[in-house]
Amino acid sequence: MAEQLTTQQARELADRFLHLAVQLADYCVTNSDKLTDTERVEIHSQASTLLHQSSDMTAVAIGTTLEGLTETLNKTSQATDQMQQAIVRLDQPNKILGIAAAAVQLGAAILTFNPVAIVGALRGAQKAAS
Amino acid sequence: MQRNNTRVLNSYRNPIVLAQVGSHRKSVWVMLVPLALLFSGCDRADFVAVKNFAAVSQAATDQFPDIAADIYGSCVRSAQFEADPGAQPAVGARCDRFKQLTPGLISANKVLEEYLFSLGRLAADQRVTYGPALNGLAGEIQATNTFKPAQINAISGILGFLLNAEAGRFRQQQVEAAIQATNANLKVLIPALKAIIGQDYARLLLIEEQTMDAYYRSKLRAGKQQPLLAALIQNQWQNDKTALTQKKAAAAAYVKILEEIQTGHQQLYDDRNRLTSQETVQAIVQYARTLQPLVKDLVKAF
Repeated sequence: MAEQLTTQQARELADRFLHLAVQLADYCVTNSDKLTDTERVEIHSQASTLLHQSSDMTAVAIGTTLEGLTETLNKTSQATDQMQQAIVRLDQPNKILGIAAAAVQLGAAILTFNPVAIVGALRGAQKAAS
Repeated sequence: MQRNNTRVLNSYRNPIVLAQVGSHRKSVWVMLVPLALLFSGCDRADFVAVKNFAAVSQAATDQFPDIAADIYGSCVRSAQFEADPGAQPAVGARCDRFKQLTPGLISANKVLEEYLFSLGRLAADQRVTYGPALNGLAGEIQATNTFKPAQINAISGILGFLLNAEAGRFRQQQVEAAIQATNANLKVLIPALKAIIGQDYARLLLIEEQTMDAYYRSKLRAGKQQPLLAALIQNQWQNDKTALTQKKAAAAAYVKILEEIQTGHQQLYDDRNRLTSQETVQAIVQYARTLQPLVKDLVKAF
């Protein structure tokens, strides 16, 4: 494994993915009148996956001592920041769904430690948040 | 560790069996130990500050296995709130990762607890006995891959000191040496334990909270036409929230306990040349007072 997460990086990512999931759940609660059942179920499902990823990263943080991936972490931090801002800014359920899907993809890519997948997911995340 | 509703301390050597004290058994003796030590004065030198520090700190760290087990427990509870039964196998695998980490975490904390116990024995001019359970601890900790090399070294350093203390038949004269030899290692071990409880376990409890809230919200949506059912769901939600709040408080309390142990030990280290002075005794008594309510928070949650 060429690039791996350090404990601190795993903790930071776990926190970021948890915060994204919380934001999505809050969005569902505050906009429950606007959302269709399908949209609500889908956002809930994506939030749930983000919580799983946060849990997985917590396991990484506790259970391993990993190093590297600094550059990717910085980019990932930027991307999650953009997504968090976009959830606040955007008011269209389809856009929010796009951000949720991109966040989930990014989390999955990071957990596989696959640099190609991470770069692709980062692009997707930035696009969804733009 | 409980046997027939009695509390057994350090059961693998020189067990101290406390009388049955019902549901308040943990907190009562935690409060009595430092008071008893304050008023006892039969040792050659009166290292009451060190004995007090060791007794209260060891009592507090004794609660750790419950918290460590709940790292896995929180994951399992989150899984139980999962609506999709198809996701259960993946969730099971996720939680198993935490289960595998638990013994290593408990072992690392056990090293801290053993050191505090041994410090108390030295302060009371008693010999340190390196129990058989300690022999495998370092290996167990290394096998879990939970700690960084510096942290493993710190743990090994403390274990090494305990081994020397037994082999060298250390007594009260070596209290100062014990504090000096382990202070730096404690500064590595304690922050590692703090991060795991204060950040990782706390995060898992937040994940559990999110999963729980989503579960109950969806139940309420489905049962909104039935007021009685909705009231029952609200009631259950509130009960689960209360239990979770207590666990969050316990995690915060344990972080504070670890901070206090580090600060208290640092105080002993700074005062190691005047451990029997009134100032040191007073500082440590204050430290014990801070620790006792925190232990109550732990007991409430588990």
